[in-house]
Amino acid sequence: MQGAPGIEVSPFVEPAPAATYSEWRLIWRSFRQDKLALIGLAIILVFILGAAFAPLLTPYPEQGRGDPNILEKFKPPSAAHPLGTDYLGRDVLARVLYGGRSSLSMGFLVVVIAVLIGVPLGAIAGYLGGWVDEIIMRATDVFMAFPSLLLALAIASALGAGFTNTMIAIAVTWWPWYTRLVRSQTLSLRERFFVEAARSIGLPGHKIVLTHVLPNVMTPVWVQATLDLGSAILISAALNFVGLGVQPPAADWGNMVSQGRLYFIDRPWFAGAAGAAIFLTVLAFNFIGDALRDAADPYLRRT
Amino acid sequence: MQRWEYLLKRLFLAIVVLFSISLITFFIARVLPSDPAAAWVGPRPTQEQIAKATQTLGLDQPLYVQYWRYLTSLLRGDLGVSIKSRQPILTELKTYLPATLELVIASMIIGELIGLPLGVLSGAWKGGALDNFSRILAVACVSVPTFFLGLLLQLVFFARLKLLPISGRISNEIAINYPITPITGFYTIDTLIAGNWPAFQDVLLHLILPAITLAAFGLGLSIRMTRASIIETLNEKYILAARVAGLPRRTILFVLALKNAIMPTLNVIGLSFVYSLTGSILVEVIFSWPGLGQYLTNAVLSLDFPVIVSVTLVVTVFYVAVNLALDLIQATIDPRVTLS
Repeated sequence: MQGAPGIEVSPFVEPAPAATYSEWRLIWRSFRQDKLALIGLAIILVFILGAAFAPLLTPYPEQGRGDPNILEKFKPPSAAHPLGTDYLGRDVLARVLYGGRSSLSMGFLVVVIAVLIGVPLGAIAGYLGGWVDEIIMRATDVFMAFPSLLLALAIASALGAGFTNTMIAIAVTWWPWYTRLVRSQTLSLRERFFVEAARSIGLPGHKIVLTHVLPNVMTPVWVQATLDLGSAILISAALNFVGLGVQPPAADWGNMVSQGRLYFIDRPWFAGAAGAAIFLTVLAFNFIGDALRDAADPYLRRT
Repeated sequence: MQRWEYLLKRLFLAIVVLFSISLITFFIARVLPSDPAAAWVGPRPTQEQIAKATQTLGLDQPLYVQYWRYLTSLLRGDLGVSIKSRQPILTELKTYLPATLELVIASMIIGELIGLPLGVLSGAWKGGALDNFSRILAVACVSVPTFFLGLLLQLVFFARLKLLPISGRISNEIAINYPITPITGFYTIDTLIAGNWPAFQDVLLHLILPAITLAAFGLGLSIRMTRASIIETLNEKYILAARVAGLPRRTILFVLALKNAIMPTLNVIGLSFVYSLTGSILVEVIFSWPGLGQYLTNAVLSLDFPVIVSVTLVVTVFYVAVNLALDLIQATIDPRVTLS
């Protein structure tokens, strides 16, 4: 281990390992021991790259976006169409790649929005306490009293089907979990010396929360967010399956299963491909989430 | 805190939550949709029809008056009228609810009967072959989309093996030749009471696939949580004492340890009830099961807001009630709950 150039490291003071290795690097060291998690990571990377470079990867980008190709409908998998064609003759591989754009980004954005709503509320509730805390916590009680699929479904249908509305609807059911998590972390942080020190030099509340509390609660939040990605994708797919979310001709793994289910007994490949894509993605995220939780466990217990 | 004090507080909280839930469903039904009156009239409404609908629905009143009306009619048990069928929603719910509950209860029985023993055994022999198997099974169960699993099971057990019916609650021939007299609305129970054996067999066969599909998620959950709590319990000193005393492993595992792991188990049952109840929405679509889920998804397609919101409300009330009941049971079994 070498000191940075120009800085003399005193031979008598050994640099503390915890300062040179960040928390995340330690988590990664333990994470990479888990084979299943690495396989999961690979699967996710393949799907993300596939969705991102969909136009380059398929010879039928216009079919991926929804143009019908009636002459070739119901073709089983072949060299020209590795996953076959669907009920409108569209190449299923192209549909799966383009569908991944909707499915993956919806799941991802749901979690991001929920974090953006839930984390500040949790920090405020935990730091301020009193009636503010009481109101925010009772609000989380109410939202968590609803089964989330059902509440999201009701909100999405009231807002009207579509990608953005469905995403918002799911995020609305999701934020309370982060609020609870951050609040409990904040409560214990509030009593720590460095926060008390910040208070004693007269730093205003919002600055303490922003610069001292939030950075210290984000590790468990990101771990939880990764754990939630799988369920977020699953619930998005479910709403798309029911007919909310992305509207045809645009593809989403959920609406692809829904369109293919009536033909599934005789021509299982197109609903099957989309269903398998959802299953693999969620499975991969669950492997990653489990390994991450185990790896991060010592750091989560710290606060 | 005294036990009764805890119970009262818990009961009071549940009532507050129920009122807030009605506030949210009111908001979803009346405030979020761009034009509830137009939705009420149907496609291509005239100006007059909208004006009339606005008046009958009370949409010209201030919001708090509208909410008060909504709440008082809810308390009278009036859930409103379906836009599509123009029937009172409560009457329609009464025909759909038993079908869903029958499916949910069957799936929970399947899930717990497999999940609990598997969780206990894999927790007891941590790292063994069974543990590895059940770890993979559990992750697969919580990862597979319910609607896709349903399709796969139909493909295997109906199309390939020709063992089980593809959908519905009962075959047409059986329904005509051996009619079921509805008593509870649970076909399995109704046919048993009437001693209607051919119908009972048929109904049971129809129940298997959707129940297994629905059971998957709860099964995965149950394996994981039972395993975790058994591992935790087995590290306790009293288990060590029992082993030192030479009690048989069976007794230690299924009597001493499981007894202490019963609290997390109750939580698992509560959780899987919720997942089954919402998961049934998707399963019912796949298996054409005439329950709440079908009612709801049809309402979503025809934008029948009163129905969507009522189903949401009813299921949520069930959810709150089950959670309350579980909490009360826990408080009665375990005095530690009331202390915290």
